[in-house]
Amino acid sequence: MIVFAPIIIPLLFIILSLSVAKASKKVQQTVFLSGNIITIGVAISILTTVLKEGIIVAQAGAWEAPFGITIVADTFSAIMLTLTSITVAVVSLYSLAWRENNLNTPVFYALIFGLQMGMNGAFVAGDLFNMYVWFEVMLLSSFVLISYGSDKKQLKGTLKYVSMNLVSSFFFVAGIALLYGKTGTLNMADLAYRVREMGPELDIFAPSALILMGFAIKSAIFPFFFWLPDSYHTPPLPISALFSGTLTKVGVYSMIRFYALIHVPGDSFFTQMFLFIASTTMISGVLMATSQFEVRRLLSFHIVSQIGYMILGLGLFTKLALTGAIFYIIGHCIVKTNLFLLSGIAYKITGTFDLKKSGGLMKHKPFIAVLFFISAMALVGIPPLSGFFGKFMLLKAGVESQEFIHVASALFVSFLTLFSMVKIWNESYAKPIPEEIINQGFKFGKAPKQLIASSVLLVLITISLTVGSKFIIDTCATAADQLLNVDAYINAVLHI
Amino acid sequence: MELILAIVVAVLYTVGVYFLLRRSMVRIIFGVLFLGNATNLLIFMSSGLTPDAQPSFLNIGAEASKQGLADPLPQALILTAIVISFGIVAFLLTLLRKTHEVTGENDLDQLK
Repeated sequence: MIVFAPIIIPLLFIILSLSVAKASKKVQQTVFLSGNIITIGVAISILTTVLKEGIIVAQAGAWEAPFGITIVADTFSAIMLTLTSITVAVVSLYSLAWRENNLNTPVFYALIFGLQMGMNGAFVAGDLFNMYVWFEVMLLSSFVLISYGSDKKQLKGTLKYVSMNLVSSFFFVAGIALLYGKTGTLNMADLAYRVREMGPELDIFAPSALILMGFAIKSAIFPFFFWLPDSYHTPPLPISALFSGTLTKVGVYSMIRFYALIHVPGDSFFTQMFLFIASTTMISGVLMATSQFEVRRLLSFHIVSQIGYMILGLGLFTKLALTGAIFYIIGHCIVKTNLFLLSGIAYKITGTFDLKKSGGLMKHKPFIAVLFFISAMALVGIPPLSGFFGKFMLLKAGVESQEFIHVASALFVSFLTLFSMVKIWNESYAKPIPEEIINQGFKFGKAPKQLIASSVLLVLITISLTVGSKFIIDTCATAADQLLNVDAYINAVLHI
Repeated sequence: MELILAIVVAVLYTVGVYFLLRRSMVRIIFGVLFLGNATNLLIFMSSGLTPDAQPSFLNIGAEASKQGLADPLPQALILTAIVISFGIVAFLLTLLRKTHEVTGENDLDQLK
């Protein structure tokens, strides 16, 4: 029954955080943080249970699969649950000290829990339609969060975000409808069973393409990425950080999960397409990032580029490649969130997100410069930081499958990523504050300690990914194994 | 019957996409509504519309008794989808109203 907890606990805390709306700020914040900590605890206990006992399955209302709503947690889901709950908790801690944008309200707390409930639901859903419902729960919370505060630029970004995500949902549902008509089931294990049982006479190409397209728009891969950099830099910074760390990963997660289930050996259309998309996503994202001078926009384009690496793992579809992709998801989620948090701290100190107008941070705050340096190098993949392991495994898998063009483009993109990180470093940390800004009476601001503390937490997690890399890579390998071994998944859910 | 409904779905999708691509903000709502309804009809079609159609959830090779019963599952799915799109349209209406209030624009291209 523990697999229901990641859904029920955030739901309870939505109610709780709204019901203490009249209480003092202290009580509200305690409720907010304790909710986050309990969710982390639940996620970790699911992870340890899954690692010890294998896939956990629960049937809602005791309706047997494939008729009831099935909740399944395998290692991949458990990793994602743990990862997102930790990220959400750190960003929550950060947002409490973010004095602008009126973030410290019960409504904001409830929305964060709503977002978390939707994400957790999508991770443990064992049924495609159920997954769609959790997607909508997540999306509605994110719609409200991204328009939170509603200034002019933000509303414009929200319109793009909302309409693109709605279109992607329609693709998803249309795919579900056709898939049901073809196979007569929406339970993912039953679907995988029927796909394998009926063989090539069951043509589910059109529904799969529609569903994957829906996920592709949600995870912002080429050519559907344009909405992400247009909207992710507009909301208040803690919300941007949360979205960039977790939301696109949900799309990637669902893509990997769904493709692993419907994948039939010998199918080369989808894998070739994923490889092509991976390369184009990486390259187009990073090329557009290099020309940006607004730090949040620059980082948003980098999200697009790095989604490409995860899709590369999906395209290669070997055990090593999937292990690399999952490890990369973990490292990227932590590091990207931290880069956003640090850009917020830099904003507090220099008062701007524009790289041209900022500077002098290395002299003024060397400690923050160190934090940034570690995160940026982890993003680029300099050994021994976390990005390196993921990229190394992906590249090795690519060489093993003899996809040299895609390996080359991944390496090329790494160099350009390094270039952009060096650009942020030069403009914001190394160079002194520009003359004309000083002449306008510039003064360094102060960043509250709590902001820096949450960034330190994420840097510590990044370092611990290196220190504990053996354990984490082993866990990722178990997850990849379970993704490739569909029969075990089918057996766990349907007992066939 | 299937053919007629297929044409209806196609027309609804066309109209929805056409509305979404217009510059006026109010048209986004119409676009979303049309796309939503087209998708709901598509789910409805997946249950099979002829009287002796077999529910698709049967096991491979099995047959249900021909009592003229419809497959209940797609209808449950549609019900859920309708409720969700209701909530989304409500949010979208508020969002557009707020955008109009803040920017004073109804033209998406003028939003800078």
